[in-house]
Amino acid sequence: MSESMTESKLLAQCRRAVDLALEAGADEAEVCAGFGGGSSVSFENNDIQIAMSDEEVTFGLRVIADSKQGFAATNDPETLAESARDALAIAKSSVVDEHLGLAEPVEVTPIQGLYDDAIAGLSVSEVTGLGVHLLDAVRSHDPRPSVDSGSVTGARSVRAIASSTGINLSESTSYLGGSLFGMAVDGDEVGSFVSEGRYSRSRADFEAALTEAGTTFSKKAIGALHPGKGVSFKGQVLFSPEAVASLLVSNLVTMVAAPSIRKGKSPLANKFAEKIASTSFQLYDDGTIPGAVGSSSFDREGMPHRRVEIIKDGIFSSSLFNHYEARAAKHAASSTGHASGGANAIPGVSTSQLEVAAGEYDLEALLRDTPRTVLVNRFSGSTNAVTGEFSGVVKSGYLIERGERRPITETLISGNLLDLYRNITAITADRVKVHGLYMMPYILADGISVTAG
Amino acid sequence: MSIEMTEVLQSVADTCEGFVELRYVKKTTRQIAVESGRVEQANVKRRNGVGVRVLEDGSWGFSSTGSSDAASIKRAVDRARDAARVSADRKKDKAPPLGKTVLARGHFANDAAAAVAAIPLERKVELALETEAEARGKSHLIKSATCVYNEIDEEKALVTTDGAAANFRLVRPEFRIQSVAERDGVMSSANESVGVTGNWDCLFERRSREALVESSARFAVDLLDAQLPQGGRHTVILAPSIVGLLVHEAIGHTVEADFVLSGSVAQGKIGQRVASDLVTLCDSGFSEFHPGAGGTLPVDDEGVPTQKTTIIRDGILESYLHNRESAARFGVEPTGNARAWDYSDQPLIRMRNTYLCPGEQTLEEIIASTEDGYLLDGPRNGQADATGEFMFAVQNAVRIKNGKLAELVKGVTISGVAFEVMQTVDAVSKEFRWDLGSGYCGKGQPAKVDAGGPYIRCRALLGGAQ
Repeated sequence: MSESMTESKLLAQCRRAVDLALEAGADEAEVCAGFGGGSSVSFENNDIQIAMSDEEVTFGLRVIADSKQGFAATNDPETLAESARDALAIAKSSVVDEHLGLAEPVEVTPIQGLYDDAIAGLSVSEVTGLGVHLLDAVRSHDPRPSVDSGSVTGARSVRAIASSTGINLSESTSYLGGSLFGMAVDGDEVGSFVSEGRYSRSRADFEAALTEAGTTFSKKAIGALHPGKGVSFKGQVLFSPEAVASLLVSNLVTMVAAPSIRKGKSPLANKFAEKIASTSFQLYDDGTIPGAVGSSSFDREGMPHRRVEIIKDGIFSSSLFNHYEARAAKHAASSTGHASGGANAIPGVSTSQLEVAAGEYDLEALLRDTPRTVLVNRFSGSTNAVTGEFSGVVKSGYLIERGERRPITETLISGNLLDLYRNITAITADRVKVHGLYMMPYILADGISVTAG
Repeated sequence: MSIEMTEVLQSVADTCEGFVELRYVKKTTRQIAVESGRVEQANVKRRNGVGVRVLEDGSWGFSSTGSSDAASIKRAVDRARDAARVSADRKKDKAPPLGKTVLARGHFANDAAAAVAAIPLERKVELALETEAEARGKSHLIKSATCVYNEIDEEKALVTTDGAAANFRLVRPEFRIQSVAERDGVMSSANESVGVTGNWDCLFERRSREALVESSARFAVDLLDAQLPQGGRHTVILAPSIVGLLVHEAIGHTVEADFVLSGSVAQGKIGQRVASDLVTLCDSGFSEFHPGAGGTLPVDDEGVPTQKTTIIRDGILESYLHNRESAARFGVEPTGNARAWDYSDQPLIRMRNTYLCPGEQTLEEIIASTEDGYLLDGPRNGQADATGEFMFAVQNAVRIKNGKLAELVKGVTISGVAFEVMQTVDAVSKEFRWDLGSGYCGKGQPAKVDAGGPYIRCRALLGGAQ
């Protein structure tokens, strides 16, 4: 991988771009830059599809002039002056917003374990070798799983932020990831899509992680074969960690994040400090965990991350703010270090490393003792974070009755997330890492409509 | 610029051995998002560079560079060649030699991009501000509104060592409006959107900006009083927007030849009946019936001129969608479906404008002959599975009773197995429209596509149940 881009070089380019923006007429300017370089190998039809080697730098210039904001992005350092003029022209076309302003610098403590020389030094040949290892793990015991697509990627990133308020920060990180997407094929029968992945900041033991990903993918794909009809009822549904992340938690994060509340699009807008979920439900975000894929030393605006208790004992305890949202909030607030996004967009609001606290239930005991439930391994459907309504298809699901389980197809679940959070009846002690960014348990909730085709 | 870059790429290609594909992409994106009178987003993004693909010893290698000079492009060719050699040692099933085919040469002119770029940025910001304010003013129940204007101005130049040398420029503007209504703590939302390949006249040709605002606000308010539907299997009339989503997500992906090779449900079904004989399904680089379909393009990212591909004819599966490699594997001609989003993306098999062909009846006749069912329009989102099982959320669902439209229902999802649902199609309208032009298809990288068709009547599973 390229060693050409350094933190000091990227930060110097950001500082130069800040000066260009100020010279062009900006009152305030912030430049965020991201460099990414690495190798990857993609899969298709259980084989290598293509090997790739890439690098790119992106600059995002945010300017404020006369209390109006503009933004421009470019991947060409030679056009930074043009981008500064673009951003100014946009600001002039925009409208006055009294809450605009750039963050002032605060002390940032580096998070450990985010960079590994062994990843940065990976060649395209070594990454391809890891790809072959992952593919071999999928079909080592059974030929029915079929990898439709996927990849292994090893990359080095450099990030830098400079602003006219005095922020000057940079950080190098590394990343190694392997992902699989596909299904099982058994004669004429094609199973439901499944996916699996492992992601790390460290090269160590990654072959073992890929082996585990391959065998888990294989088991999930085969388990989705030969489904039967489900049954219709209203009652308890068990959500897998993947379904908890995609349905329960991601929508809850949207509802509690400051932009939704500011815009009047959150059903939880007036529920701060109120009980909105079962007492057993705890949700927190922590972008300071050493070595975690979602961790970094500072957010998109240069503010340090910190652990934030979003839902504590079922009570809505904290919203998520970037600098703008904190200034625009009705009640006094400060940034929680949740400015998100890359160099090619203005800062949004998002989480870093989300966790639902472990409960006290044993998964096998839940499966055995719940009279009737549907296990949702993946949810494919629609959710409305404005109203809380959700409806969709149960994927790779099972009907479980008195401990007996069988795969099901054409089964829909529907309800309202606001009811679901209150109707959580069990949370498992075991948790699973999902997409490298979420640590989630299984969650059992009552009052959900199940419709079988 | 793309004409000059064709010459630069050709000069590099002339020095290369074996098969090399060079693709210059210059993409300028302008986005404005307004909500509650605030400009939430206003930006210009410029990204350009050259993507290089090399086929060597039956293996592909890819690299890209953000620099567009010949020396940088040559270095990218070397990196791509190294990558191809590395994977050649480990690839089990080597790619066959690419067959000889007609490749595009020359400049494919289109004036729309220059026309849209000439509209001042101030006017685009004004358009979004005015629209959002109008939506909020439609009813005291509208609590917030959002208007998003987006345009993708793209120049491409493409050269291959076996004869392609083409360039073109396209612009794809999109316009979205969302209204959120609230009464007594109950909230509802409704969206309207449009996206085309073409200029602003084309963007607002079928429905005016005012009509989009009116519809978004009215549905948001009306949905406050709507009830949930009765779950279960029902007769449904799908509007062109839902037909488009169905044929794209649940059928189109299963006939992409790379997925067919991995074992999709369409594998081995060429020549077999997969739908009612009322069903003829096509995917096209052109914009049939009405101009401006969002996935229109003259040449694909392998230099193959696009064409109209008939996937299903009168219910019989006739063709998959191919790039040059899959066409060589299947022994057919490429269909011009290789597409790449950015210069740093490799071309993949993607759809363009996918549609069901119109039939003989009018929508009015189809509704009148439906005793009990639902008319479904306006997809909120949708997914489909490897099995062909799909799930789409529907914004505007209206009950049909005794051949007449009745009450609006909310929270509706429709589900089924695509090829089974297509077997139940018993009515196809003569009305046709493109209705997915503001959407993007995701397959590791985005693609601008469009889809549509007539109104069709079929049987499917409804969720969102009481």
